[in-house]
Amino acid sequence: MRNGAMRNGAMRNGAMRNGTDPLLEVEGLTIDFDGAVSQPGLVQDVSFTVSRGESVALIGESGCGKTMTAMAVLGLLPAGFRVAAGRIALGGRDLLTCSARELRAIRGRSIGAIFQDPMSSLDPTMRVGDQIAEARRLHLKERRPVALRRARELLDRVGIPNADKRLASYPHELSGGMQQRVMIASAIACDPELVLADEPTTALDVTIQAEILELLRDLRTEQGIAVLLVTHDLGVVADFCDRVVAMYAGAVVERAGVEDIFGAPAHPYTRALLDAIPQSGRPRTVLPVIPGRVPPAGSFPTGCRFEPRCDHGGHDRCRAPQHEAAVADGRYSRCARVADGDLVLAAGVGAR
Amino acid sequence: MTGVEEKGARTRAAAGPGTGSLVATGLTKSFPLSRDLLGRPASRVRAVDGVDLEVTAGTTVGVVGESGSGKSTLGRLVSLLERPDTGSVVLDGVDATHLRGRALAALRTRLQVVFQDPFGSLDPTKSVGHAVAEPLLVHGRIGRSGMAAAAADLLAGVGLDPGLAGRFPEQLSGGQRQRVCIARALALEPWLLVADEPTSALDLSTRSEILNLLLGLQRDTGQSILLVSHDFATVQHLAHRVAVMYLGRIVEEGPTEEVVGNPLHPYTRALLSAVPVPDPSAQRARRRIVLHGDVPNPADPPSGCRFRTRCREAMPSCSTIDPALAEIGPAHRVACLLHAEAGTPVSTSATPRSTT
Amino acid sequence: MTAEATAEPVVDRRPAPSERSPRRKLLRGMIRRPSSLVAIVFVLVLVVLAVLAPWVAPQDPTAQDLAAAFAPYSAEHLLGTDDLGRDVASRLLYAIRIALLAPLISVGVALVLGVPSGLWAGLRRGYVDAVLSRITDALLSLPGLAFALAIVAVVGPGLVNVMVALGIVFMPSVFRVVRGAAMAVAQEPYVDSARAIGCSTHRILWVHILPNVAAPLLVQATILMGVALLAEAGLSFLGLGVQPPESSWGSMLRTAYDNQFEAPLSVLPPGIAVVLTVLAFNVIGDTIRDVMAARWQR
Repeated sequence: MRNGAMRNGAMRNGAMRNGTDPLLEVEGLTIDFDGAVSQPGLVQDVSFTVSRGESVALIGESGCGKTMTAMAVLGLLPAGFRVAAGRIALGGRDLLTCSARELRAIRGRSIGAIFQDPMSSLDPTMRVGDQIAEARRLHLKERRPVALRRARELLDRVGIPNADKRLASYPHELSGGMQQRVMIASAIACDPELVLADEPTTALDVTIQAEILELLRDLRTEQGIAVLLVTHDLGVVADFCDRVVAMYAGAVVERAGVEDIFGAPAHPYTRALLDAIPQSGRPRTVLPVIPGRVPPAGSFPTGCRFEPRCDHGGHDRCRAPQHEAAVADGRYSRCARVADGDLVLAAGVGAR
Repeated sequence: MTGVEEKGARTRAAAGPGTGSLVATGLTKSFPLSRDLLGRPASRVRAVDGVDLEVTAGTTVGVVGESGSGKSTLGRLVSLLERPDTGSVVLDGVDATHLRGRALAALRTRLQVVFQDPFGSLDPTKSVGHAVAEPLLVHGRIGRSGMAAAAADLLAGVGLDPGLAGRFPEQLSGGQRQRVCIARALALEPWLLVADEPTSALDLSTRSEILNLLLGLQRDTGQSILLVSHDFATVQHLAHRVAVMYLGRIVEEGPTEEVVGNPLHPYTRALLSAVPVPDPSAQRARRRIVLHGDVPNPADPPSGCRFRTRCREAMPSCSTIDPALAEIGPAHRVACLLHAEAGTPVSTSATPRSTT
Repeated sequence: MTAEATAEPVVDRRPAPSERSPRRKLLRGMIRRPSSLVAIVFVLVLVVLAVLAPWVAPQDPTAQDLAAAFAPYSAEHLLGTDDLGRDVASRLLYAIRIALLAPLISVGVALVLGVPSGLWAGLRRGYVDAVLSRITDALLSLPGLAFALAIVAVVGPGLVNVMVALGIVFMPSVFRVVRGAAMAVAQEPYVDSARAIGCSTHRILWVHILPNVAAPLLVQATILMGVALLAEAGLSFLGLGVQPPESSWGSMLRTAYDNQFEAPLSVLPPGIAVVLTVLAFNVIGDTIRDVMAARWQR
């Protein structure tokens, strides 16, 4: 496996296929925490783009800042957290300068959101139909009967049988997979350009996960909705995404097309993550591990954030703050070895 | 392993982790769903419905299934945390089904459990050292004064700094906690370790550490493991044999390579195809079997084959005939009418299986 | 941060921080909050004064001097004297003993009755729980003070009788708190884990469940201390608690009330003492709850 790099030239990434029209641009995003103990740089200098119709994965272990980044895009950072620097733009419009009112108009309208736990994301006291119709009534000022008719279509669209009957159901009457479908229906109710999905299938069984991914895939191909998928499941990434943004300790360590990153990861952290997956062909073998653990937020190393756990660490060049360096066209890695030009990727990827 | 080990605690020197046996036969367990006015169960859900399971020394048996399959209940029945409605759990030749009190406590030393949630399975008010040495204290193998030394040994045994003994669970990471839980389970040198989703609450890189630890244990001491998991990749990596459960039944069982390489039950096939492979080109080239519909309500399972409502190969006879596990290949058993002719039905237990 | 960290892949060599047992953390959290620090210091001072009363008190609290009745505040009588010429400051000091002892007795009785039954009911549920819950519900339906008065009517007045009666009245509230918390804790995986290693029910109850219900129990106990003190003051005010010549803040209030025209200021010392002490108990209880809530949130 991992020979996807050979198809490098032909299929750089989804952005090529879907045109390089950037929909979401995140540039130099830095998030600080101002509290009793202020912690600067919880998310540091994060940049990536999502093009129209494209699916981008934000991967990393817990505590790496991927959900924080997603929340910043939604303008929903928890109290105390603050965007200290950077730019977030949707279709060229700067979201950080928007008023709270304008942001509300964008959320649910241009950006739909799906979260991990559908049961706690849906209002338990509200009927499914009204829940889906709410976004349309709110954003498109539709009257309730009209919005409900649309909600019915949406339930059909996300593959819920007996849509007429289900409109009147309460969330707890549905199974987990059905609840997640309702979440998706309400996320796409206003035909958003971008759907932000934070671990949408983590709480679901694998057979249900496969159905949900299938549905999201259909939405992309048929309606051209772009998806920013926050996940820690590399299998889901391989299945669903065009490009990958890998985060570690609040910083982006690598950005690449999905074939490239699985074929020849250009950062020791991404490589270690991939190596840690059990391989079906080699049962009962010892898996490589990443020594140590993710440092707690607020005590990130000043130099390369991965250096204390890195096989290639210990050099002076790792002690300085790292910057993203281009490995190849559209591929970036935040590793001193790339910047110094002494990282040789397998199968000639990134030969410069 | 010869003879009956009734005094587990006393004879532990004779019975190390390498020897022992577990045979579970015809297990059923149901839970009340609703009660009538007098508090008697009005309707019940059969979480486990006629399951046989055997673990032999030095091997890992994996139980895979999705939510509602009854795999966790099976794990609890085998762990002696729950009593079966019918059937028996025979550990080291001793029928544990009706044991109580001291005899049960003694038998428990032969079998220990690692729970899914390392955050909840350690008492927050007890130090790490207390947690790992407590089993020895409870069984009177050490005194209070011996706890520190025992704790240090046990922590070192799972690759933790003995200096952690004085800390409290909330100060540890998820991986460290799971190691502490494993050290606690190993303290009594049990023959069998029942691990219920031991890695599903952990991060990717921590997961491989725990898998390595379990593999190393088996290699070094011949530890037998019963691994209950929803994650086929984990089971595939650790288990010699695997049992696939659906709605309270084992639908397919056999050597892991056999089941993964040549899945015979339509559900096993669907389950395997739903697990995404972390390789984009391979994953996208795969033929996916996407199941439609939800898992039926376990309180009201379909007639005949329980999988037929979601099965793509369902035949008319599937709604009337409830297929039994039949031996298809060497030690490979499957419960499906498609394969019923090929194999010979396996009698599941001495007593006939209870009705569906 | 150093290369050494990568050399030891498995063992975590992070320097161990100070050992933070939950108990120590609770104490630290309480001392850090100014209001509870003041309350704790106040109660500690009361304890010290109660123990040292014979040495600290300027005069014998029962020594009468009718000639000096209703003396104003002075150097000799810091808080003046009462209707029998007894030194109010000394009586106030000796009364601290009653003010602390009385709540301790009743809360102690409530704990002895309520904790084991609550733990048992919470873990076992079923019939055990049903029976115990009905008994406590029946107790709860009795008006507390009236019940205490009835007991006093049967066994006669006196501090210990009154406080034991009050302890029985308090028992249901302790039972309910412990039962509810134990029920939640019994669902925790670590209770299963304790069973799996072979712990007896006895050990599970006292070693694993009790410490984990300690926080709400402590909150309830401190609040009951305040309630008990008020009840004691009330009963002594009515003459059913502490018997003369012993002094209690309640009986001192009674004296002050009876003589409000001769010495209007004499209600102040015992009144303020009661208010401050009850307040201190409540502040401590509230702080325990806040500190534990902050911990649970993380």
